[in-house]
Amino acid sequence: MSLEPIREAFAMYYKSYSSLIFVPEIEKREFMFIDFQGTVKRHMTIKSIEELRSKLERETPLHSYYSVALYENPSAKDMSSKGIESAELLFDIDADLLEVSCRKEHDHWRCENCGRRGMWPPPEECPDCGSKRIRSFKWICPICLEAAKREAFRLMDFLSSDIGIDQEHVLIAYTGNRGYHIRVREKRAMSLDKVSRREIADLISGTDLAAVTFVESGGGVSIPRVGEGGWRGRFSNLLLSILEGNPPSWVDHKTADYLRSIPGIEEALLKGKKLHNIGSKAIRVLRKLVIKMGEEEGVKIDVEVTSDPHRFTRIPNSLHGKSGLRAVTLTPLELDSFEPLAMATGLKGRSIKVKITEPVPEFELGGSTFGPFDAGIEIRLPIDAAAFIILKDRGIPI
Amino acid sequence: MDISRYPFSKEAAELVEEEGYNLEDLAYHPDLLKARERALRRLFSSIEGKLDLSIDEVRPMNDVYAFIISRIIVERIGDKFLRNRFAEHEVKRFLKLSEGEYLPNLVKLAERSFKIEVRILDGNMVAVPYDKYLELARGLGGDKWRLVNRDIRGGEVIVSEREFRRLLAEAIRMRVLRPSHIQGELPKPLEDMAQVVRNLLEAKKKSIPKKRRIGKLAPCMSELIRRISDGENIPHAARFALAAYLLKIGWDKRKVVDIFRSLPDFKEKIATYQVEQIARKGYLPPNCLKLRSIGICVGECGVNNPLSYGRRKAKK
Ligand code: SF4
Ligand SMILES: [Zn+2]
Ligand SMILES: [Zn+2]
Repeated sequence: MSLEPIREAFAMYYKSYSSLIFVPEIEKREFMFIDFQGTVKRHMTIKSIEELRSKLERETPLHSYYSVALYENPSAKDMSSKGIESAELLFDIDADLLEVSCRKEHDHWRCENCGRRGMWPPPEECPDCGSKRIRSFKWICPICLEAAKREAFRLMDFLSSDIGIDQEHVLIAYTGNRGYHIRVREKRAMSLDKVSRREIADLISGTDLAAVTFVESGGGVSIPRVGEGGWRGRFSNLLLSILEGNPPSWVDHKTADYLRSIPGIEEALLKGKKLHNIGSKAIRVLRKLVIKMGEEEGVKIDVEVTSDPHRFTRIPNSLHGKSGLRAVTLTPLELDSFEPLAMATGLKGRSIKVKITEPVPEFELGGSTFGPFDAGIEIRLPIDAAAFIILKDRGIPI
Repeated sequence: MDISRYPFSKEAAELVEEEGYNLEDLAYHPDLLKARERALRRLFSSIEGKLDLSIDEVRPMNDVYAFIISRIIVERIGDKFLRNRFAEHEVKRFLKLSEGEYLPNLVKLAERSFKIEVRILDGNMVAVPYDKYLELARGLGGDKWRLVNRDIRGGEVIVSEREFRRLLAEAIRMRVLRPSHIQGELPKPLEDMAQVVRNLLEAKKKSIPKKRRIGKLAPCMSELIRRISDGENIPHAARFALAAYLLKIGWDKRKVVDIFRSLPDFKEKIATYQVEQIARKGYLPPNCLKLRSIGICVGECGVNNPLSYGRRKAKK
């Protein structure tokens, strides 16, 4: 299959809009391009914005990234000789990690052996022929993108309340596909090493909460007080909301009623008193609640991304090779009213003919509505909608 | 500030500068005879895993010079095991001697000597900037030190006075472990002292059983064994993981206890009891995920538990 018409549209985009391309501290970054053949080019240095712009125009990559790290010698082939100076603290929020109901409406799978299809989630093996060669087809819609946006805001709340990072030190970018990259450019955060970054990632995502440290027994039981910060504070607030009768929806009634019946729990929360003679069941229930809280309320970030100072992010206003949409830099205020599918389109040019290979749900792009399309049909579409379908592997140009 | 308790402090360093003794003086000056003696004692205690808490009431500077001379000799010998043991000694000494210290003094120590700016809160709690906290707490094992389990507000981690001293002790450890730039031969008396220490060190090392061939172990586990045999003090969670691991892959209980022999706080009876407990209950080592989160993992082996590492390799 030739993606040539898409590549041409990408080239035209970079020709007309190169003035939108910008990367801060460009000479200290490592760049990475993936071209339309899938070849990865790494360890590139680029000296100036002009050089970057003309390179994008000339090479027209399918994906284009730069490092969140600043290096002394960005083009060195191995990490140790690059000489890392600092790195933005990166958070990746992806609709994939969120439980969104719309996936059942727009993601599907197909058995590569017999061709059977079904809606998400994909089975381990095909129910018809037993083959394990199951291929998934993902899609995006306003619902999952909105969920990702909400998660981005939750992340910023955590950053501010726990780590004390205000919005002026935060950069937000829509990736161009399923989510957001949030980067912290505050000095202390930028000089954290890998081990510290992992601790931050675990904190933000509520990973590995140790319930025994929250509900400590020994000469009475102590629990976090109202007014503490971090997860300890979230736990005391959670208990308080249960006592006050307005817990979050994930706390079931039985647990809530039981917790309310623990003698002295209010004094413990408000005054830091120890709980006495509450029995092992109470301890068990409290500890279970700690773990559940982490799972329910942790921000769904990719912890591997945050832990690694050598990661990449997309060049602002470059095109995403799985959607044809632009990576867009946003302020928190802009994020609030940002609608990716309406506002992140960028491809212009002649319409092209597409053969639909996988069913396409109805969708809106750049203000127009398309679909639904059945597999097998051929249709002429504006370049942005065509690219969207093709790059999501649901059609081919003809 | 009582400099004999805190010989690593900025105040101590300033006094040393004022008095103006140079390396030759440290080696020959008659006024420093006592300091040299005390240095030897300190190093002997370090090697033996004992704690030298004596302080010179008459001339506190002797303790400062003893510390400085000890460090010079440790660096001259350049042995990892010795350096770790000495660091552990200074950590323990600080923890003991700083007990009951007036909290604002400790805060000043943190600021002046380690550039760690903290605040005292109500109830003798201390607010430590998160980046410094993360640097210091990583050497400390146990869930309660992990950021996710802490009271953290607006970039400050709230710790108790005791925990604050524990963190400061880690700062001391890091300073002692950082190699300094001593090069070439020392003046004769110091060289002689170094030789005495070397001899004792060799004798100590010989008394610790040679480690088995550790080629086939999961990398995180052989790394732990290496750290222990280098005289490092490793956290309890790590000791547990290692003991459970070695027992599960079939090591004899006695051999496992032997591994722990080079720990600075090794106690035969306690170690034997603990290893036996782990063996009897048949505990499994924690999963890689857990090991990674407590900073023990050293590689991406593509397994879920260090035990599977061995199995996979064995099958090949
Ligand atoms: S992946 Fe598992 S076995 Fe390998 S080093 Fe890490 S913790 Fe050990
Ligand atoms: Zn099939
Ligand atoms: Zn959706």
